[in-house]
Amino acid sequence: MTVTGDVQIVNFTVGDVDYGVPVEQVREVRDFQAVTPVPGAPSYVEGVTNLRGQIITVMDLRKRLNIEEGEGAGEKIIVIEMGKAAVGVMVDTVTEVSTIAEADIERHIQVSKKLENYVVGVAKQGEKLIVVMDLTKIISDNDEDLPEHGRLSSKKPHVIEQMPSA
Amino acid sequence: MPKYKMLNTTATRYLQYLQGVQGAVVAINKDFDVTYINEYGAKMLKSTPGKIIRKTKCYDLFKTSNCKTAKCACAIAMKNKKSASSEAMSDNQMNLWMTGTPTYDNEGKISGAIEYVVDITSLKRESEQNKQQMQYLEGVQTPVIAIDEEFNIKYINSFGATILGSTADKLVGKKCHDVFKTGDCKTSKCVCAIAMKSKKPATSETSCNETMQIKCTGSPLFDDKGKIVGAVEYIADITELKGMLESTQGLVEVSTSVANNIEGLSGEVLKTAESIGAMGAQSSQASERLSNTMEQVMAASQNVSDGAQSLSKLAQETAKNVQLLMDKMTNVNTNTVEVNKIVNESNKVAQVASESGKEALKSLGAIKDASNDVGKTIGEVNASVKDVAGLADDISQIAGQINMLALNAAIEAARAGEAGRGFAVVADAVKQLAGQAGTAAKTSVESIDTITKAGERAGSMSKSADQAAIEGNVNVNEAVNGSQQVASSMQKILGVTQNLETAVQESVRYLEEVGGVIEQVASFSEESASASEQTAASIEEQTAATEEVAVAATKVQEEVRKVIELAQKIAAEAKTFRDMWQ
Repeated sequence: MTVTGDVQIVNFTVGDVDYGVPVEQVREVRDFQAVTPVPGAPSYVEGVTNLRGQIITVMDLRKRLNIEEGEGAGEKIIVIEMGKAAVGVMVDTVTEVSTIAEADIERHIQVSKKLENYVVGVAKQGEKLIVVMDLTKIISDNDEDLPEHGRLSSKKPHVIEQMPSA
Repeated sequence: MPKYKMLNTTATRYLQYLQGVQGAVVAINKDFDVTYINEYGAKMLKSTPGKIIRKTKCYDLFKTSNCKTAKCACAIAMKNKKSASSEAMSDNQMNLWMTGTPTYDNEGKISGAIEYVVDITSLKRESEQNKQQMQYLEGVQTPVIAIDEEFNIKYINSFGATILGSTADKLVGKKCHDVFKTGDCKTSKCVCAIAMKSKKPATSETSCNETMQIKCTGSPLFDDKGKIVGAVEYIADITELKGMLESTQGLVEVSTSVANNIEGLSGEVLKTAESIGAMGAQSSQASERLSNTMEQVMAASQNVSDGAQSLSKLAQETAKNVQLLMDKMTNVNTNTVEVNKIVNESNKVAQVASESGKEALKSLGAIKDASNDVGKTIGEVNASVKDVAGLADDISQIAGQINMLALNAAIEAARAGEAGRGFAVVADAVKQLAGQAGTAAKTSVESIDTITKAGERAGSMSKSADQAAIEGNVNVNEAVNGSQQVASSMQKILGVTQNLETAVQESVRYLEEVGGVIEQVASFSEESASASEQTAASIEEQTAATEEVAVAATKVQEEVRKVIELAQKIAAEAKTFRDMWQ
């Protein structure tokens, strides 16, 4: 999807890094709740859970992006809307909903080829740099990895090898 | 006849006299040279005058005990210019009577001396003998006197002088008839006169001084030529004899008359005496038997006495031993009392220690209680703080939830676009409030954590204090228990020692009783001993008395026998008398 003009994002963290996700992709934010593990699912899939009558897949972003730095408990779940379906993404903290001016977003950032599809850009917010992610892509990019696709990927997940500099 | 011739004749005649003197005559000069010695003198010295004259000193001749001493008669005579005599002993044990006379020269000066020496050895001996004889006479226990023909007393022995109440010295020279004044004096009956006249001893009886009956015996005294020179009278006091004789004569008469009766009586006396004798014999036998029995009893009582004495000794020794034992026990008692004292003191100390321990325990208990209270309070505070902490957590959670709600509201507002913009502001305000509440809760939680930690520390501190108190309590308890045990041990020891003391005191009392009993036994046995001694003594007395009785009986027997003999004699005498007088 293409974002123009001022962008409203939901700020969250995984490890030491500040991330953002466009508010349009987010249905809601929840505290982590118990999940039912799914046998044969990829390692970054925690399992499934019942969200007000709707069964959703919960995945661990840290594991998905192969992030090893920093600490985090994955206490929050950001529910990403995907059409009628939804996916729960485990993040460490969700801090706020903020608005970033278009000018403050660098959209052309050379990162690893694998992350090219997921990273919208890097936004300046005060002193902080925020990696703005398209979480719908991170889920849909590897359909085979999703439990609803019934396939497990043996491939290693793509990792941001180097943080894009400003 | 010329004068010198006459002188010469006279001298020759004198010399002849001197030559005829039956004694030694010696003339000496002043130097004791012999100038003359007569024939007798030379003969006495078994020499001749020619060998002696002018050849020897007089003291070399005679060698008497007086020679060359102040006693030399010649020396005295020459010194005193008059004659002097002295008795001396010659070297051949002759008694010499020496008389010295001074001689003068023509001018009247002492030229020497003439000594006349007589051998008086035999004379001396006779004199000694006479003296001895005189002593014999002196020893005669009856008056002996010697008189001369004129009845002058020449000698009277001391017995005679004593009888006359005078001394021999005063009586010698007096007339015998003046002294004795007997009935025979100055009569023809005078035994001395008769003796001198008849030249034979004569005896007569007379009275002297009208009170004394005397028997005088006179013996004539002769001189060497058998001529009567006096008499010796021997006087015997026969006053008693005379009286006896007279009474005897009276007795004879009485006896004669009594003799007949006696002869008759003597038979009866004899019989009686014999029966008395028999009785005496019986009495003697009986008393002997009694005596024997008494002796047996005495021996028995002596045995009893000995036994009692040994018992007494034994008892005394036992008493001594008991006394010793008692002394020792008293010592033990003293020691026990001492031990008791010490134990008592220790007990007191232990009790004090126990009480101190108890007080310490109490204090510790108080400390423990206090620290317990502190601990409790701290615990309560902690609990309250925890509650508060819980509340804060709740607030924090609520704040988080509110934050979440605000976030979701913000998301909804953002998704709503323009329509949701006001709502987004509200949501943001809510979110901020929630954030503040959360921060406040967080801060309060931190504070509460601090408080909780402090409280926990206080709690642990109070707990450790409590623990310390408990430990102290335990220690003190142990100490108290220990001291209580000590006290109870002391109490036990005290009990034991008190028992010991009591036992010792009882045993001492018992020993005292035993001692008393033994003393009683001793005194009893002493009494018994003395009693049996008394018994023995009384038996002895009894025996002695019995023996005396026996002796008396024997004496009676003897007396009776004597009486019998006497009676027989008397009877015989009576018969003789009768025969004589009839």
